[in-house]
Amino acid sequence: MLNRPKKKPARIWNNLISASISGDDVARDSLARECLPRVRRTVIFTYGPGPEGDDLVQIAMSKVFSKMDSFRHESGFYAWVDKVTINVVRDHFRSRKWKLFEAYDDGRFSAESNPQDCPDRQYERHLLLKRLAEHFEKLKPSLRIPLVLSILHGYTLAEVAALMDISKHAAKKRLYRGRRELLDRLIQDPYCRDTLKGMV
Amino acid sequence: MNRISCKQVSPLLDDYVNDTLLQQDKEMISIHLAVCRSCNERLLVWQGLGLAVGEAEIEPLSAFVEKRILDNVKLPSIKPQKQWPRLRVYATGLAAATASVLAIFLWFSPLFSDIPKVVEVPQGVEPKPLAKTDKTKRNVSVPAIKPVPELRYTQARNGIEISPGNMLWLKKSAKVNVVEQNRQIVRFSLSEGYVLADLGTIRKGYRFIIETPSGEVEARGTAFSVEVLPNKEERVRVLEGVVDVRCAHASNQSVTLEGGEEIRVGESTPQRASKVSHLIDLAFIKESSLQKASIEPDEPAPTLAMAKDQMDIVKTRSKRRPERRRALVEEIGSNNEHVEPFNNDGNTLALRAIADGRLDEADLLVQKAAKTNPKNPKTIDMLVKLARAHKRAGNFYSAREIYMQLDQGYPNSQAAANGRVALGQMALDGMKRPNEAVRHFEAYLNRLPNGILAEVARAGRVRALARLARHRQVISAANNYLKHHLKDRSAPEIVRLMADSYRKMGDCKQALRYYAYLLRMWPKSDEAIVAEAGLKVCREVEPH
Repeated sequence: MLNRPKKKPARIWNNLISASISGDDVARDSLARECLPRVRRTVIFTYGPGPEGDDLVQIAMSKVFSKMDSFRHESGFYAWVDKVTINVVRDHFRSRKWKLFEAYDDGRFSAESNPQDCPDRQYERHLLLKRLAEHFEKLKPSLRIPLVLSILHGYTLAEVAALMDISKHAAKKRLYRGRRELLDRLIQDPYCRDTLKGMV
Repeated sequence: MNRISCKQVSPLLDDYVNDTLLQQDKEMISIHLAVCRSCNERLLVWQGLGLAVGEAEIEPLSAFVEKRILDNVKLPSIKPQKQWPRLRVYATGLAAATASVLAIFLWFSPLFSDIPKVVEVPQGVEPKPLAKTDKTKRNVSVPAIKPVPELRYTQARNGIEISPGNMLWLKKSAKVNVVEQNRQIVRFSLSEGYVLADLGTIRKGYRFIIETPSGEVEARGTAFSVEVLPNKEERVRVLEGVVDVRCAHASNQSVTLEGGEEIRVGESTPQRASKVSHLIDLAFIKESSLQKASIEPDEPAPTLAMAKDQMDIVKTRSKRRPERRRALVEEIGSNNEHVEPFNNDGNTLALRAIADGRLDEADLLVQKAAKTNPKNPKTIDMLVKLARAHKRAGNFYSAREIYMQLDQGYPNSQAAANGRVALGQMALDGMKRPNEAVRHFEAYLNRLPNGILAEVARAGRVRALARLARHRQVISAANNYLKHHLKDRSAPEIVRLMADSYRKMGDCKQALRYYAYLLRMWPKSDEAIVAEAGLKVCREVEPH
């Protein structure tokens, strides 16, 4: 798969996890620094960027570390972290349904700043990511989450189905529909279309 | 080899990219991609997306947020406490309160009034037997029936209930005092403003009088309004029934007015009241009775100090307006034939009413015009002017309603687009709703990105986003503003807001850069002072 992460040896994870469970602050800190970017990336693409996203990151991190003793080593550690993060995001969607109906003008992107105005290229990269995240945000959560798991973390169909607690057939359907919708949106946004084509 | 369609290719693109297809399928898709431009484009975008998402760095968390998250993780996990101890405290409190109320009730209850009191008797003195009469008295005692007062004032939100069904409605800055009040007469004095008496059932022989500076008006079971204008002119209008109007200097001579008539106090001949005034009175009754609130001081107030009431009215005025306008519009619907919005000269009465500040009347006329002549260009003009007048008067909700009416009725007009900017400004500064303001400004910019008010809309959008503390959006919106309007008047403020946003996000390096830019470009502006303070804060955080 495209973005499948390189696996760390299980031995390293096990040591870190057992140390942090036993109350070693250094191990806990290093484990948190390892997990934070991944959790954040998942939240940004499944929920969206912004201060509320940061809050979700914090909730997910707290959950990961407070429930670490319930990690049974049946899957990889990252898979477990992803599962916890996704559950946090889904819970948030359930509790805050109105968020799904927040209306945005479709022309908003054209009215937003043009990347050529940006002070530097770093900001431009962030802007691309932000735009992508906003396109993701417009998908329904049920389509978005499997898509993010597949594109961002490189999970296979069976893994997506297991993480989402759905059947393989349903996961396949959702992935297909999500991909189709996302591609339609990306092709309609000239900035994203040209930039992404230029990256290949 | 069979040809395949775009529909068949689309679901296989992901597998094609991941190289998990059979060789035969792969070849078929390759052939299709060589000839189909759209599928090829989709494939390239999909591949680019994978790379972008995988490689792109996420903007780093601000140091503060990262520290907060990591600190939170370090804390030992605390299990949430059960809620029941708190619930128990509440339940105990509630039970105690209930018990005390019950005890008080029982103490004063007539059920226990027969219990004889225990009296300590001094030694050597024989207790006197209770007199029989006392006991019988006690058994047959009936609480005294209070005589129902003839007049019972209830101060409603903007009116005085003289007795059930009889109301004196007060409007705006009406100054009313009770001069005399007994079983035979009630006499109010009106020194300024507008009152409307709605008297349904008045006992025979009972007199209801309103004194004005130069006369008095006596009702005989009717509905009428009395108005003392700031220029000391006094008007009496009768909706129904009969009213006697007397001058102060000739109290024995009176003029009798009937329903639909109007008179200036001091004149001898009544005139036919205009339909507009009539409708305003009707709508006022309707609105006032809708808003009647029950505040109940039982005792009659000797003097009705209106200060508090006036304050209430001023506070709720803008909120109540839409209801009132709706009431007026309903009235128009039922009395369609009476109101004429355009006179013969072509100058609208409504414009005159707006200029004079008679917004109620103007509301009526403009709504009528909008109903009867929606395509007349003057109607749009009147709506805009009326909305502006409401905005100037601080009636933001009325103004908003009119602007929205304009937007719905004339969606492609310039006035409707400009109205969006006005709405945005009102939402931002008047109603304190920055979220709504952002929506309105964006709507204008989507419609007219190079319009005459684009600068105002872009600046307003940045301000609204800054108020919502959406710092990243502020930065991109400010960039957009500066791209188009670097030399416009709001540019220093926008640069300052952008620098502030960077500072609040923890990026002091960028903040310093923009503060310095602001000080260099506009050293004498007001924003420069703020920028200097911001610069100082940033230098403390990042000295180099």
